[in-house]
Amino acid sequence: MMTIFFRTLKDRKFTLLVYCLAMLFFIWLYVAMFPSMEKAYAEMMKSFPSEWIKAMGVEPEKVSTFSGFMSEEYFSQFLPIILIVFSISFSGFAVAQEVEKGTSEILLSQPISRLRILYAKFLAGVVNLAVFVFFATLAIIPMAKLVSNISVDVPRYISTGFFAFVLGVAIMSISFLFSAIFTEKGKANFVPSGILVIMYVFSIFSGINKDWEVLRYFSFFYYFDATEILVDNNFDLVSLAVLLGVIVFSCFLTAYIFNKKDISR
Amino acid sequence: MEKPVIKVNSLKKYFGKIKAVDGISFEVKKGEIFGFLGPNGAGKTTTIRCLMDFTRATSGSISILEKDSYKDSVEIKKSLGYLPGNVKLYSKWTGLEHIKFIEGLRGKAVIAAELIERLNFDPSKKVKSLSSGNNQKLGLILSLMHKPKVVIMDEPTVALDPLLQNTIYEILDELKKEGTTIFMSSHNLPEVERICDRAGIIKEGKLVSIENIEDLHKKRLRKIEVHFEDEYSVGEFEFNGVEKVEEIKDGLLITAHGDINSLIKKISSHKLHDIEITHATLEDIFMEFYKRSGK
Repeated sequence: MMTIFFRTLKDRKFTLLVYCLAMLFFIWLYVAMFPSMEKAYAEMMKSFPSEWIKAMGVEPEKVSTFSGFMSEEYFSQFLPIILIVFSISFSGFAVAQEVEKGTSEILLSQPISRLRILYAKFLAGVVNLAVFVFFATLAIIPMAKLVSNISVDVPRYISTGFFAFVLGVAIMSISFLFSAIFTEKGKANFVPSGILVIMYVFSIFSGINKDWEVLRYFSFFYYFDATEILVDNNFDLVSLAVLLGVIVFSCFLTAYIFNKKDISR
Repeated sequence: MEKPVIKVNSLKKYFGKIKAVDGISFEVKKGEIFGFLGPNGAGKTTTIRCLMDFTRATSGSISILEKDSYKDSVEIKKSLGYLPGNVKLYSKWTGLEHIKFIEGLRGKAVIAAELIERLNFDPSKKVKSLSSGNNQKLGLILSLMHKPKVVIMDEPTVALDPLLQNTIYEILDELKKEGTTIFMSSHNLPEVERICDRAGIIKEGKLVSIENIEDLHKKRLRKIEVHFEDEYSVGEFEFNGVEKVEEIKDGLLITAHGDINSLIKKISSHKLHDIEITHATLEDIFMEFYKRSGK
């Protein structure tokens, strides 16, 4: 099992490096943007309709601080989208692509169970995600100091990074599930992307109309409130439990489907 | 009596309404090379995928080395080597990386170096730069390097040049002598005749016949086109073993099976202008078996 785990990590190391370097660039952009955006942002907030601000879950008084700005703009808007792309592309590579290209036959003809193959790939995905998320979070700390001479509350960033990591694992577990169902990379990427876009729409619509408020509970994005962690220092355990529940449920379902299904190119 | 190494009992594999494999049963003995012969789409690969537990049977059972192919899949694969036709490998890995990877899963290889040398394979090259022949060489090394007790191959020589085909036949012959049981599918009748002890003939998901290769030789159909320079009549060639005699321009087209010595003697009693003996196609062989089984 560890052979597959380490090999998968090795095969993804370049991709991981590219993602991390890209994040470094974006973090620099956000940090460098903050001083000039600080005042302009407050003015800009005034010009937006209050319904839109509410729908987007933006709290104008919080975004004027660096952590508030980063939580609203970086952690709530940008990072989740990157987590979706990262997780879906990893699961597509790890499962569906193996079946589609026929290399799964090499793995399946070895004395290792399907579940162990799946767990090794998933574990490699989780480790990849951990490296990526913690890099994408902790790189903010030195960058803020270096570029804009801003000191941040490190434990709060670690907490936010941890929550973002759990969100990423939840997204990855869902995309592994669809990778196991479809075993065609195109479909395996498209379906979870569609579902996550619907979740995103749910999170917006639930803020516009009170009647639609219930929709937010069906969105992952509701359970990751970066502002609450980073600005209010409030770590919501219920949200964490929901995300962990999604991970456990998806993993069991993925294992059941992958173990039962016919695997052939 | 020694128990069969591979035992397939009433195996069915349906994909919706499509009956890819429809109730086949056969056994493969220890140290035997068993050919699984059939045209494209006959159900050979589906049967192999069921044997390998890549796909699960709709009904029926498979046992390999007296273990259930589904429940004991991991245990069986410790003693099993598999070579798919047109083997698919990781394009960015080198041959050596493939070997190390499989060693990580199965333990140290026994004959990897020997096979590399024998097949004249360069393991330092990335798979994406290898020809299809070299790809198949690597697949062969990976499937045999642990000296498995059972080898399952799906059209192992497809698209390979004759030289490499011969090397593969030699290796399989040697493995057989060491007691390895080999199950291989093919749609190439001469290949099966050359290396197999027995062959199962499958068409449209059903096993038409299981034959000893020697018997297959005896039953083998030949078409003999003879052009005579002297007088002849159709009737003088109609004897035992001759299936059909058709008149063609200045000669006859004779379809015969089994021993053709008497027929050749009869033909050579005439003055000939030309003669051509061709082996029947695989399709002709199938037709013969179909006719015999009343299908």
